[in-house]
Amino acid sequence: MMVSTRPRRALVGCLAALVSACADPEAPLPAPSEVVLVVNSIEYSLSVVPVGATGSTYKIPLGGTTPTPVGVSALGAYAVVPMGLDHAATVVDLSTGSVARVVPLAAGSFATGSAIVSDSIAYVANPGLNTVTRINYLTGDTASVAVGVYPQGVVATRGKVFVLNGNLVNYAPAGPGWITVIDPVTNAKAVGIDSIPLPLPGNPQFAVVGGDGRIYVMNVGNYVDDGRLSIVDPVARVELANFGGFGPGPGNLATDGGDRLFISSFTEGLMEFDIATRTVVLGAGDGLPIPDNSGVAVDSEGRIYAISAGCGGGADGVAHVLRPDLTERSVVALGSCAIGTAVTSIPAE
Amino acid sequence: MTLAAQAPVTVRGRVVDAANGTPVAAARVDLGALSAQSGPDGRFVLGGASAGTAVMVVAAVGYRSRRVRLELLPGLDAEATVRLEAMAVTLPDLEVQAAGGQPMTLDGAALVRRGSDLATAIDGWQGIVVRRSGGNGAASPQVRGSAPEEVLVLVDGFSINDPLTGRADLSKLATRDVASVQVRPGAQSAGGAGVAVGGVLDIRSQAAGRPEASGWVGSYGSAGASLSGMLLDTRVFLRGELLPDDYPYSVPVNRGGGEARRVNAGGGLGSLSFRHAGRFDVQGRASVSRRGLPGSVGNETPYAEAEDGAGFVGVTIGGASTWSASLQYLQSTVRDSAPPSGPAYEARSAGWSGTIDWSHSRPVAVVGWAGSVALGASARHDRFGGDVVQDGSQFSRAGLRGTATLRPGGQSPWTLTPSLRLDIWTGENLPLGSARLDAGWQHGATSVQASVGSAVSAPPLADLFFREGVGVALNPGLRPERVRWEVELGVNQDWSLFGAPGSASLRGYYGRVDDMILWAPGVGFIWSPHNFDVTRRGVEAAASIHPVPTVSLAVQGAWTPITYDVPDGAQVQYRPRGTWGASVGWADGAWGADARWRWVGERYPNPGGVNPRPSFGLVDVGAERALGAAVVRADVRDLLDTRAEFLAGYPTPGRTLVVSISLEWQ
Repeated sequence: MMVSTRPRRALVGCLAALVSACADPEAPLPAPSEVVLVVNSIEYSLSVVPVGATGSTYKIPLGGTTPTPVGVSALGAYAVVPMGLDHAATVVDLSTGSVARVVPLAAGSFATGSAIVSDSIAYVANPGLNTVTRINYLTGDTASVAVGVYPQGVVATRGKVFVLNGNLVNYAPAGPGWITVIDPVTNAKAVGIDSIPLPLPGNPQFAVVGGDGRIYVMNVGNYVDDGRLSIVDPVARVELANFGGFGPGPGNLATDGGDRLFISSFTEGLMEFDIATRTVVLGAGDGLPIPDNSGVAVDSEGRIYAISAGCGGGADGVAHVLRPDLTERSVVALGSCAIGTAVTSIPAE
Repeated sequence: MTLAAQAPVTVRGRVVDAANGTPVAAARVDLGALSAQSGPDGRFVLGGASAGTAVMVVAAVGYRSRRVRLELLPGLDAEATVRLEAMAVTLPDLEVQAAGGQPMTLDGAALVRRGSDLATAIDGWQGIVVRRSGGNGAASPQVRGSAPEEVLVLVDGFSINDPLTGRADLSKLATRDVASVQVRPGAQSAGGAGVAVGGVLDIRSQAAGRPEASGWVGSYGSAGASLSGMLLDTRVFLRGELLPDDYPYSVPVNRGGGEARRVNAGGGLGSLSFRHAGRFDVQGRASVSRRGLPGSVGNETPYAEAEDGAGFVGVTIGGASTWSASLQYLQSTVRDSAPPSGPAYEARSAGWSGTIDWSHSRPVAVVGWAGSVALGASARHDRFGGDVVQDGSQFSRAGLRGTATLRPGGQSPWTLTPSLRLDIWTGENLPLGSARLDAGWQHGATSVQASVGSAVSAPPLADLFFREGVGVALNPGLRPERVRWEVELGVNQDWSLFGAPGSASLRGYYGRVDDMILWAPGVGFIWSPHNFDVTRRGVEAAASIHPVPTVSLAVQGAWTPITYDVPDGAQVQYRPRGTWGASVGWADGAWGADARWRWVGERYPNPGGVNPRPSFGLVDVGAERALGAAVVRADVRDLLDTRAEFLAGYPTPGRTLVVSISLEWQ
């Protein structure tokens, strides 16, 4: 005798729906999972390092043709990776671990540097076109606006987008760089002060918003002269001060959300700047000896992820996971030529 | 009997094609219990023969065997030139497969059917992958996962590897000017081949032949013509070609998808070559080319172009000792009047390269083993300058080599070939050695070959002397590439299935390559050539059968893992693990047809082992008809319009129709 199982399945379904409908609306949401993202430039993949389980690190291939991504920005479950020579921005859905979409940019963009402004809008710098592009990373819509010369970094705070103009000509600094301020609502230069001069040696590439709400900009220079760290007030839109002591070619920045600002350097290792006292804690010559230190990130527990690039030949990059006292906690394997970093919390399903 | 009557006799000789006088390599020469194999120049030596009347049997694949009666006088060496006639029916795509370290040969007729230039003709053959710089750019071979600069390409014994880049551009060689091509894969430095750590392509040019004119037209504006003939006992070959341009390609998804036209991919090239064969073998080549440099599909460079010019003259004087010398001039200009980033540029390089080589072979007998030993010495000097390399960049190298071919007395199936080579070059204080030992065993239709070898190769000049700039820097610690050791075992079996002759071969190899040179970013993302240790191993298999005399079927495959020597090391960039192929040919009277399929596996464009480029398969078909002195042929390349791209961002033209006609005067 044939017995249909459909009624039984329907009953189970109804019960499940009932239980769901009666669930406690005040119950706390599952905790999001915090991850550190690292772009592996040469193999164009994204390493995802779960901060609570670094042994479960995995890679997401970014695809593309001949990209050389060097940075990533992230918010919630989305990450945006400018794809360099591919003139595109890749949007990664971290909840599925896959590329959600590739947003083509204008030919010659050489997309480098990005910032996520909201739950749908990101900005990507196009150094080859002297523009930035506002991207709706959920739909792929784009709109570009002219900025300064060779924009290569973007940071968003206080409702504005701050674009780092490298002022590079033939890949060398042609003079000091500056910041162009964009209003993301109008996608045009902000009303009022829309340009913030920066000091020599020029070539501002990296910026981060410190725990004091100010923007910390690294003027990398020409990799021969020492770089300088600028402190910029995003409200008054003026540079407040700048500091040396980081040696030639300092790189990516990260902050713990408090007073600690970390500076990575291929030549000097991991350095530190105290935001509260505005003093160099670990400067050139005193840096933590992280080989080929190409980037740095700090998670919500204050753990520092100092990246060793590791380029070519299977000698892949690694993240040195450091305790707040800068002693090494563990080492996490990454991909080839690891460089750009971001930290985000992926909401639970 | 006097002592003189017992004195052994040495028989020296040369095996040549009866039709055009070109050397026949790898011919088997038997004289009683003695046996030898002709070298690339067709020459052989049989030492220790007994005086008296003897019959020498000479056999080579693709030729009728010939028996030669010799009257050997005591103590007097004998000379013999053996002319072999090609078999009346030329079977389509006749390939010679052999085991182990033995060469594999593709003859001129088969090459012409596979393409107008040598790069197209040998792509996919015996696991060879031809890497093109863009759709129509310079095309260089990769053998067993090697880099193109690790494959030594010889034309009549002279290297055609660009002294600057180390790469040989096979697209500049017309198949109608080639009599045969052999491939000897693996570590081949020791066997007189110099710097070959990946393998050797040994090309023999046509030395004689009837006057011939040919021309062809193809899709996307491609066309070509060649003219050849004898002038004052010298074969002259003239060729011109226009490259396809403005062809469609599939736009990658990151550029929005769809279809677009490839622009600035065309260009033209012309070449003139001559060869006067004889005791003084004189040859020369000159070529000019202008090729568009279209850039990758994501970074198109519609105004970039490369202009190259080259001239070469070489002389070989044969005899008991062989001397050869060559002189080569090269110049290259790359320019872009409106690059997508940075200022307009024009970069020029030019230089000279000269070589001299001496070799001498003689029979030997050692404790019951007899055979021949060959000694040689060579020297070379390169000098370049310009915008790409530092002015006055010079590089000198010299080498000594020795090879013996030995066989035990009697009817032994064994042969033993030890080789040793010492090289020294600018910047090295001590000679670097390459050694190889080949052992062969043959019984009936079965042969087995085993070898162990090492090899060393100097870095290409372009990696040593390039001009530093933004993002690129010299690596003063760059070391030469070395195959520390490589073992190889192969077996070849000729067989017959219901009367249909066929053959099959299987080879396996395993080796360690130290200090392979690859460009990679280092500290601060500054790109330089770096050394990496890799392991290469693989299996190569091939089989062919002629089910009926007019039909041939062949299949072949190569599995080539070549990985970085680190835990879980990834496959080296742009080295496909798998390449497969199959072909079918038919020839009956005036008609002929053939089809070829080749498949190239996934390639990683980076050392991380992610983002592989997709595998692709290409189908080429062709048909021809002889009409008196003319042969009309039509080919469709990439019948399925795959538009494959070996290198990311550089698609090939896809489906292309080519119609050709050739005329040969009697």
